[in-house]
Amino acid sequence: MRRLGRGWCVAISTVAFVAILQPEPASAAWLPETIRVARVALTYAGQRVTMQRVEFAVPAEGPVAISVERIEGPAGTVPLWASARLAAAATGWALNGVMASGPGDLVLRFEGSGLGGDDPRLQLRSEPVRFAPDGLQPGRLWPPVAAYVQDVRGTLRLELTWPDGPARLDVEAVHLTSDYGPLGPVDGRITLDRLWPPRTAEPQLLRVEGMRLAPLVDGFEIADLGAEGTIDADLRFSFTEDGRLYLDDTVIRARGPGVLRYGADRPPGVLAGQGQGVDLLFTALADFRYESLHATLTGYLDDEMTVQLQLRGANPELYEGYPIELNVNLEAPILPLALAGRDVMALPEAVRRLLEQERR
Amino acid sequence: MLALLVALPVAACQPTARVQLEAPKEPIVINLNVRIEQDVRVRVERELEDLLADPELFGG
Repeated sequence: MRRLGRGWCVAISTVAFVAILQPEPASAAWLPETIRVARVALTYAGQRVTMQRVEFAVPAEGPVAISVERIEGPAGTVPLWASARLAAAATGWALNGVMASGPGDLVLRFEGSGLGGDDPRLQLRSEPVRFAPDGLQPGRLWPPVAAYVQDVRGTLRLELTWPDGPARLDVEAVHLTSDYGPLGPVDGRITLDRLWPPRTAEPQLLRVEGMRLAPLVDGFEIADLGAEGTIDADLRFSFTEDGRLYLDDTVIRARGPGVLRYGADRPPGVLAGQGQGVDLLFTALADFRYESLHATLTGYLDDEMTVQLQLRGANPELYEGYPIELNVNLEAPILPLALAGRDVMALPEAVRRLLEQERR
Repeated sequence: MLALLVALPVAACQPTARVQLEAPKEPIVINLNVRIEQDVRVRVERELEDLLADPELFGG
């Protein structure tokens, strides 16, 4: 086994040379025409990839042809085959080829230039990748993904240029199940004009339908807050020059009636003592049966955002269920607050743990 | 006359207009502007983090 640096390892089990000596030119006189390697194992960051029956065909002139009959990734991944042509050029190696699964449900074409030189570029382009519950799943392409999304169906198509971009991802009628319940369809196109940090030339739109409100609200872990219902979202967003995610009039609306419940006895600290309007609002929110819910979000996700929320409905226990319209204009660093709130809620546990360590 | 006889039952079947008085169901409107600053909360968290990292209190 040979270590290649930066975490790469390569192991070659069997090498078979089929050598036909070339008479001319002199520099190629001792190069074999074909090199076959029975098995090559690559390990990177603990993930092992095995290539079986790798063949290099080295003609007297023209590009080197490389073929791999079977590429096996970590357990559970879909096996692939690959075929490529490699040619030396003044600026580095030029490479083009294709990698695909046996049934053809994943086909990835690649074309590179200047590889190993000062200005390398590799363009990757997938054929439409169709996911189906009884067919290809994202977890079979990269197993860790299976822990987050299951039962995926729909089509993805990816085009990207490494290392600088651009990149484009087409999402078409994708349905999936995650910790937040079933979701979909999701449709849209994301175009980055720079890969890292990500940057968009214009606002992007991703339409997400059928999100369950309950697990989404529970995810914020705000004590006494709960919700029921299903929402759709038009996620309009940009990645700015510094790679930050900016929501640009993202719209969330309820698909039908639902419930919002804030069960605390009094308004949260920041709103306590703000007058009868606030008290009435939180009395209504004790069990608010909404008929419609509409929210617009604008601002940096990791900073202050403006949320305009409009709810129409009633609390059956308040004024005998008389209709109520709530219009809330909220300016707050919502995500940082939610994350900080989680940390603060976890502090008593951290203190208890440290005290127990101290006693030992 | 025949026309009248034919028309009579038709007229009798016409729905009677009824005026019903109901209280207007205009909703109670609650408008609220909320601005939440993060500064205070972050400062408290940092103080708590410093406290937790204090070797004299928790043995570091």
